[in-house]
Amino acid sequence: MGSTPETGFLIIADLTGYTAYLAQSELEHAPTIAGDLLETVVGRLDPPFRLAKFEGDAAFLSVEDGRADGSLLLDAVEASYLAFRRRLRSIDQATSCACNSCALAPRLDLKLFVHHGSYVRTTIAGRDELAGSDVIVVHRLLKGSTAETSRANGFALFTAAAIEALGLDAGALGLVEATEAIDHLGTVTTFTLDLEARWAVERQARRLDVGEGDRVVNLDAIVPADPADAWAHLTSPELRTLWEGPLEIVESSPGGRRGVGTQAQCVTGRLATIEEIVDWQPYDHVGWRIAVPALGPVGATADLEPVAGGTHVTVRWAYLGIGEPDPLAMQLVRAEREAAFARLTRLLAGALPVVEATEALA
Amino acid sequence: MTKYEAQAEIARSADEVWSYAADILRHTEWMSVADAHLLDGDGTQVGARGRERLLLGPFKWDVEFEVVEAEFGRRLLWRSRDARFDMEVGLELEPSGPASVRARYHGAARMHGRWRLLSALVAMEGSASVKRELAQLKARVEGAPAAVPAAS
Repeated sequence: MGSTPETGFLIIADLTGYTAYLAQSELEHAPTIAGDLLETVVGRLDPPFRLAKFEGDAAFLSVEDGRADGSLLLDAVEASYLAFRRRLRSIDQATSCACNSCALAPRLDLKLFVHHGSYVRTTIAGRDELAGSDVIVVHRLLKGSTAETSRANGFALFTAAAIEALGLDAGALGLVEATEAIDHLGTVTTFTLDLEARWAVERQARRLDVGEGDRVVNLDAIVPADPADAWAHLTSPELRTLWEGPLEIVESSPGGRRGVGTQAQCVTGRLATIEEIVDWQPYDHVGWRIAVPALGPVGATADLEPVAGGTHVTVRWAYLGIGEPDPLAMQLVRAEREAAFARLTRLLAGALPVVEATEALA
Repeated sequence: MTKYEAQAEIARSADEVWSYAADILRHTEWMSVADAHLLDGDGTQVGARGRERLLLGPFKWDVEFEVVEAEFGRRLLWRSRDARFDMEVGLELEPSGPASVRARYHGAARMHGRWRLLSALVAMEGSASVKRELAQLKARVEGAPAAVPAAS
């Protein structure tokens, strides 16, 4: 009996330099460290991606169309690389072990290959497998010329099909175009994102600090959701309306990807709030500058920290204007933010029926 | 103006449902309000006025309102206007059998001035409220003993 074809994204996260690392390290330790790193990477990709299987020093994941928007999928890719580098840094800083496995671990890097296409789910020798020519394409990219020339650096390689499905503007995002010839399957156009550069920015990043004194709102809660889910609900216009109310959020993003510089106009009734994202560290921290009618400029941040049982979410709003803010406007914003945050925590806890939230948009 | 509505089939006659809903002093039994008082009239006629404490999400607002439509067995419309918002809540009844009625319960709100900062919240809470209140209205009237038809 045949399987029903699906369409979606296929992604391989592959440790760079693993063979050399294994050859020079103690067999007792090296696979454990590599496994730890791969778990870190998969932990950031899944969800929205789903792990299909581990393939030696690589993890193969997929996500069917419609589960998340392009920006959120790109957030997952970027977050996985940053989590990988943070984990490497902590191994490097924390260990006092002199064995080669620990000493050489910081030489490992990560490359990710993202393709969009069709595949089927099938069972081979009792194991679930994804199959199809697009599955072959993403695996062949592992051994392609881009992977070879970029060997020393972390990167994410997207096929043209993936870029199109993600709705990204490769030129605006500074992606490097190349082609790969794949036997029997033809030529594939690829676009490479320099994740090493993204990590350099991350290390120097200064976060928007809304301070303590003039805060309008300071809210926090532990929600029973993973950081990816909480992040999506805090940043995706579609999901924000489920807890913030019937807003019409019109986004303008450089390159089609949500991030620093993305501006949004949030309209409810005749009231329009202008937002600009000023910090963007997926699954970890996001900052906005917001022009709130009747109140003035506001700095807002959301910080996420994985904890036992979910994610600790901290949201802060602070008035940034000159002089004293309007007391009634402050009071109303505080009340509105508190109520919305309570809805968010109920939504992520599964205690707010999505149908109720969705119908409010009608 | 943000609008929201809910519909339900209620297994009681339109007259019974209407009479119960029109009783302002019983609004606390099924609406998200507390401390209902009559200010003028008895709630069954246009021009009657009342005061209630509206419980909307985290807010408790004292509001005065007026009955602006009252057609026995068919419709009721309450309207409140003050510096914060204009708000209307209505109930329309369409008999669907000898002892059943199709009820449409609806609300609309427009916030004023700085209170517009709460527009999204009011819309969210209002949408949830009309569903909850109509369900409570249905449970209340269906839970009460059915009225005995007058002998002809």
